Amino acid sequence: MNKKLIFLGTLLIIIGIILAANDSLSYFGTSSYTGIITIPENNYCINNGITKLSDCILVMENYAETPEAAKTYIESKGEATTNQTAPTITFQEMSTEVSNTTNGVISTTAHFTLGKSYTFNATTGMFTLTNYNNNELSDEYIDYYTCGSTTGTYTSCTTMYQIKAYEKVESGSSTTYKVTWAIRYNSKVLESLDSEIGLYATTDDEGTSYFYRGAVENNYLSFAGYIWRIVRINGNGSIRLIYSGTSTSATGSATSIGTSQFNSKYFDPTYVGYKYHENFRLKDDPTQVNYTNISDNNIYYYSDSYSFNEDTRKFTLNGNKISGTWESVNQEAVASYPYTCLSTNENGTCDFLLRLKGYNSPTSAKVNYIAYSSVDYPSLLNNTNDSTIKGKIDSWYAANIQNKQDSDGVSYASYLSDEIFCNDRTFTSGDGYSISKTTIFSPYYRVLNQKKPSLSCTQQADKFTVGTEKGNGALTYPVGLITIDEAAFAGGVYLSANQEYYLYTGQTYWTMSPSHFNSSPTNAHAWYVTSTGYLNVSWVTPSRGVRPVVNLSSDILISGGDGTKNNPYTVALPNN
Amino acid sequence: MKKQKFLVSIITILLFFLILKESYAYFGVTKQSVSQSITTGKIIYDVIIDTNPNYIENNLAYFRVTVTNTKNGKTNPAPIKYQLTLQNDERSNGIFYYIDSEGNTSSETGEYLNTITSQEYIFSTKEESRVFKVYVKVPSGLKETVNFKINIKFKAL
Repeated sequence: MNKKLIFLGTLLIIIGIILAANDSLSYFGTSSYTGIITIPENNYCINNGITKLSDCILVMENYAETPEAAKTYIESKGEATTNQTAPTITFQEMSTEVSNTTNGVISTTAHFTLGKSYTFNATTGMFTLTNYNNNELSDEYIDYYTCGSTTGTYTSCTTMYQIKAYEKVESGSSTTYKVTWAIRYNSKVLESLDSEIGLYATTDDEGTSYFYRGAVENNYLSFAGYIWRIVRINGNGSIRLIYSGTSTSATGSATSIGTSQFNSKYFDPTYVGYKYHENFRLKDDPTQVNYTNISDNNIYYYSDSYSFNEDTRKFTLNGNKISGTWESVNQEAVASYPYTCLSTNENGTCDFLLRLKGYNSPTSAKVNYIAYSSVDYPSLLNNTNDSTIKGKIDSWYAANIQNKQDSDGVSYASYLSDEIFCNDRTFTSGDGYSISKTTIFSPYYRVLNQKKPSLSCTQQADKFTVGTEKGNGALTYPVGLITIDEAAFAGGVYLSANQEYYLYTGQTYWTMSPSHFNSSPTNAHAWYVTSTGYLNVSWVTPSRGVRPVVNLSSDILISGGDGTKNNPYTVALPNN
Repeated sequence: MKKQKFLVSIITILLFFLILKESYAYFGVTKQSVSQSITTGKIIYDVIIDTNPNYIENNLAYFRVTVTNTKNGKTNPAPIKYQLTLQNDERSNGIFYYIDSEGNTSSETGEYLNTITSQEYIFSTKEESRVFKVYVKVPSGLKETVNFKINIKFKAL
């Protein structure tokens, strides 16, 4: 009996010790992990007999032995997730108190969009105003939030302000509102996941294109004395590059050749064109439009007749006139003085005239347009006049590529091939040419609505090339701009901040893609990349950065480098 | 006799719990080699090793090690102290340097070493994670495969 009890007692003590030991093990754990990593070799391509630049770009993706093996690897990655930024980013909201009594932290001579509250999206880094209106700044709006934009209704931004104090400065007929004290809200990157990085494959009009995506650091290339980032290998093996300044450490404005308007004119759909055609006719369009770009405190002029100058293509108010805010004179204006340029200058001219038909609100009117504007869609595509930005790019190209030679005295233009630059003016709604109808061009639908970019360019007139073999033959030089589809493939998303992908520079810059034509206010819009890396649309008239895009021929050789910041690729012409 | 039965019952219950606990610890181990994670009976944590071949900066290859105090939506209820040691495995010839997500580095002078031991890090009882970007070089400058091993010591505080 006692022996049994002693045995069981001993067993109990042993089990107790085991349990205690087990507990301490779990509190003092050690774990081991193993992994394998491949270290890249300097001059991998040259050392391994890979001489063509396009082949080298491919094999450097995974240090493959052959371009074919690299292609298999790249294609096995599947489609890029273009409804998300690359890399995927998680943002964290931050706030700082700021003051500037001299110029104001932000200021406007018009209205701010003011919200009682806001939301913050940690995936896009965007602040969005809620419960907002567009109004003059007053004491009522202390503690309200604003994106600080002074025109239109801007409710989303990457930097937002909570107004704490403001100053109203009156000078002559103009009033400036300065926010002198505010809480500034912006965000920082909390986490960035390189979920998609490197080369991905998709199709363009000539085959499979391999494009860079995400925070890649191995697509630097030195050519013609400038640094470029490789955007993609085109379907025919040529290599598309975007200008990136004179140093691999260039940022901001140093990554562009300067700034330019996309087009200096905006009031017809034709102005979304990289080249455009003005087959215009004086039209009194009966389509009624709700025109919303009226300032409620501006004193405008209204008249009972108008004239059109064929030479200047401008409208002027004639005959009897009245003036006043739209709210104060709307009944009299609609009844007897229906023509207006919405100009605060009695003798002001305009590109199109409004015929007032009715009152909606102090900032909106029922109107129809009298305009000298496009007659039809096919003639709009005739590509006869250079856009403002094309003029800027061509001048730069002539001086810096065409008329500049390498050490052998060969023009740098000899390195380039004539590839398609797509100014996609196909449309998904509207008619493509009327100013009284909103036209949605296909890039808007693909990138903003569907989030499915495409490298295909379907309309012959939109395929900008020098020769007529592949495209429209409307270019002077083989140089253009990046498309919004290429920016989306690279990792950009509409209204989703991304300061990590390789197309982020810290400066806004234009793309070649039309967005839409808005019937109210009448404005041609194009796509651009913002200073915080998200994709956005805007009127074609603001000045933004210009980053030329060229294509190296498919047979260009690599003469050195590995595409990294410290050692960008260098190129040579083939020996034959 | 009653005492005997009582003791046998106690032992049975203890054995049951002991077996249950061991099973829990072992079944918590998942994903070998590239990514492993463990949940022990007392410390909840997760370790992910990401060796994406595109992780190259200035021709330097790197991999990412993410350590968290959360697993399957559960966060360790007590603070954890942990420390990493990185070294070569299977006669590899790599030298290592890391920078963590707060900007701390394995060497203030940027020195690469064949074994590096991190400082001691602490996770609170809130959900936390820390990413280590580990750069790897080989003295030859040639393309080479490096097998590496990471030991992580955990201690619940």
